[in-house]
Amino acid sequence: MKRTQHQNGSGNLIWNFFASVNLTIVILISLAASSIIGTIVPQNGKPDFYFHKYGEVLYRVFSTLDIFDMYRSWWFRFLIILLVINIIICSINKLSTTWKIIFPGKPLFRKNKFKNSSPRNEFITTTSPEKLKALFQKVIGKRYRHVEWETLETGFLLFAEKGRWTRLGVYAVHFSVVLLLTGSLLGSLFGFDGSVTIAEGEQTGQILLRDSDLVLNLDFQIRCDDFSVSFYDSGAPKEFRSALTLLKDGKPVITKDIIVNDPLRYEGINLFQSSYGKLPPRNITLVLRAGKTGDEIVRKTVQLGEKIPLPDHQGEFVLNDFSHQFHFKGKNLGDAFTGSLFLKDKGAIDVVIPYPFPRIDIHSPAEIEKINAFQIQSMGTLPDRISLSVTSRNSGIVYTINTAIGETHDIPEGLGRFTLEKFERSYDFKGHNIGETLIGKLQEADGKKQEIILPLRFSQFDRMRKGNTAIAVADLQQQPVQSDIIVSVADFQEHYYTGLQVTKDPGVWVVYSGFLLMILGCYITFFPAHQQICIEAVRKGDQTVINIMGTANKNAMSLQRKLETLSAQLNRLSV
Amino acid sequence: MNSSIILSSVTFVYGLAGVLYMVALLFKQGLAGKLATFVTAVGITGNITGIVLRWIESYKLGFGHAPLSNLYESLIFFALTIACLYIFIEIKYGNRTISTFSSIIVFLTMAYASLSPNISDRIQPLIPALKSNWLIAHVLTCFLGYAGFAVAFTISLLFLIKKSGTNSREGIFSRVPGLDTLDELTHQMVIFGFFFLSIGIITGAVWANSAWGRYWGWDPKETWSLITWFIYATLLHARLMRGWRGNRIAVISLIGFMAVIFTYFGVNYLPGLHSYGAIK
Repeated sequence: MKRTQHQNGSGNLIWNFFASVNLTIVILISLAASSIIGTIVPQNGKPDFYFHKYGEVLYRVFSTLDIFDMYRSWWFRFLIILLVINIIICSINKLSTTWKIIFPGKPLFRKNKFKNSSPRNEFITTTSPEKLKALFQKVIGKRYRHVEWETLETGFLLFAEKGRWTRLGVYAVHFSVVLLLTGSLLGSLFGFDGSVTIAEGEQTGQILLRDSDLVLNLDFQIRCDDFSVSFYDSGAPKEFRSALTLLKDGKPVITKDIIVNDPLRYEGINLFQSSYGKLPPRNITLVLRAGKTGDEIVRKTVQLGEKIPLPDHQGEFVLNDFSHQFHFKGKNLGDAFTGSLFLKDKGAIDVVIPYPFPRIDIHSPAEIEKINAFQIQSMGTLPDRISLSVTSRNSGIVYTINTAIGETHDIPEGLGRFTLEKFERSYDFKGHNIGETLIGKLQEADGKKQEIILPLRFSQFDRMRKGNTAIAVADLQQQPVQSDIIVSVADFQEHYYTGLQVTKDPGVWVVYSGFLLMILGCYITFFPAHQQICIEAVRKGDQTVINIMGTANKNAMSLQRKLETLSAQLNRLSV
Repeated sequence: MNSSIILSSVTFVYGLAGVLYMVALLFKQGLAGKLATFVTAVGITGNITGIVLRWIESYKLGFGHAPLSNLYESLIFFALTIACLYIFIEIKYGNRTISTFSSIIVFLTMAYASLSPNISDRIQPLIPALKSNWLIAHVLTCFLGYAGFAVAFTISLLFLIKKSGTNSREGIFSRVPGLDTLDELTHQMVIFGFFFLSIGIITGAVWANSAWGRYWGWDPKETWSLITWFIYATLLHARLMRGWRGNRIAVISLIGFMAVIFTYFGVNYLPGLHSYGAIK
């Protein structure tokens, strides 16, 4: 480690550049200042988000400087590498001198090293130096590791020191920074950080990596046996819990419930609870009752989309969907299922099944009537006759045409012939679902044919066509169809998926040792000092004059107070 | 008696202590100074009682946890640590004037906690992310660090004021310790703060690793605590290695404390793609 001071050439220049504490200060300030950017500009967002937020010019500038992922940008890493080189070279440079202080072979004490102390550290006693020597040995020997004596003509000099090794603390701190960065480098080279979502009861061996969106195959499968979430009365979440089983070659190797702060660790891979979500429910127990008597017709546990045949070939029921916020006739029902009854004699009926099902007295006809009205059929069937209004643009006269599906009628004023063709429950118009819609064809006087769309929800729709006529549905009393079957859900299972963070970081123990070393090093650097004291005892006549002096490499004020206390203590003992 | 009432009253006790310290400093009233110390001691006792009571109350509510889990609780604890620290220095160095600005900061902290309409003093149960043994270690060390920096800030302030007023002979700051002592005290307080901030950041990192699987994620709060750490590291290196003293150290200490304040409060106003403790 020893370097000669008379080295020539650029090597020395570079060395001195990196050994400079000014460089340290510049790097620390640069790191502090540039780190602010990343806390103001959101990191790792999507390009279009930034483009909108900052405009084109700033976007390009930021993009070139990697501002959107600045903590991993080349220039930020460059600053960190610079800091590490600076730390290492500074430490090597200083350590060679510190080493000589700590391991000087034989410690050398010279009285002139010690400053003149304050008068308070001086006292006079009648006790002879020889007696004092024994007294001081007891007191000082207890507090100081190393004590040396030097005999003077009329007395003695006592040198004592402790904490020489504390000068090493700062190197421990510096080395800990190097350890931290080495550990994080190991982690980024040989570790990974990904996430995965798994539905209850399912398993996977693939995770999505965080920064690259690449898929990583694990050498085991993660199965989510169960997920549960609990809440406080205030609605704040209390606990997220996933029961996980890891399988290797199809065989379970480990089973554990994980919660936020208590991950599963297996073969260097950690699984953390990070999110969750609801999936459509499972195992729904449906009960179909006869509306008139309330008697159960069918009870069956099904999954969404499953068909249940009705007895006596009356038809079938299909459970279609589930929603947590079901809006029905302007009211939010909360949790509700939807399904369709297909009855041979009545056609299709849409059914809304709120959960929990309203309590009803199944044997009271009035109650059954009520539940029927509530439950049945957001839409009914079309009436046989439909009346349309046709407005002539020229004359402004409104004509009414009474028609039915499949019929063709002449429109007065020679405006053409209109055929009502079909009815659709949900009609897509330019990508938008406009709901129930009648569709017809208009053949104008000049023979031009065009499709006429008449959504039931939008009566003015056809005016948009800006034709010679504007056709609208004048009156359409839909007949609600009632089935005499009441559908209810007795029970279902909530189905969750759990979101896991899956990480592997072989560098974490290096980082943790860095943490420990940093705390230890900071403590040693800041608090215990390398202290040396010198006590001079000189006989003058029948008195002994005692003078206590000291030096310390830090916290001079505290040393001063210590010397004063020591002086007072020795003074008391010396009487 | 409920903890919130005690803690609200403690605000005014600290306020009184601040006024007394001010009187002692400006009018050189020794008695006011002694009284100020006594009132601070009363304030600290009330402050500790309030915190302990709050802890007990949280158990009575059925979700017992250390009262270090939200802004209100952290402010109360912050005030306590600063008050303890300035009383400690006052006794150790036998000078009351250095407590003046600290006591005002303690009062302002308590007043903000008790009176701001945006800060709820309700005891709330812990969300899953906060349920960890690291909570106490992390918050305790962070706020010991912040308290060290706060006291360093007040001493630097005193240093700068005293220095600018040195020309006028019969300055009101005759009782204030000498500039060298103030400079050394700033340094000692920064060392204290830096030591605990380091442990605070480290315990936070270990906690983050056990909760989310990452010991460092460049979250705004993490980043700002690191910025604060960099600033004080700069101060320490400049002082110990380059021999900076006086004005320059005092100014860095002021800047450092601004960073502390921003780490504590300002971060909440920054845009973040993810927030602390939030479950996606």
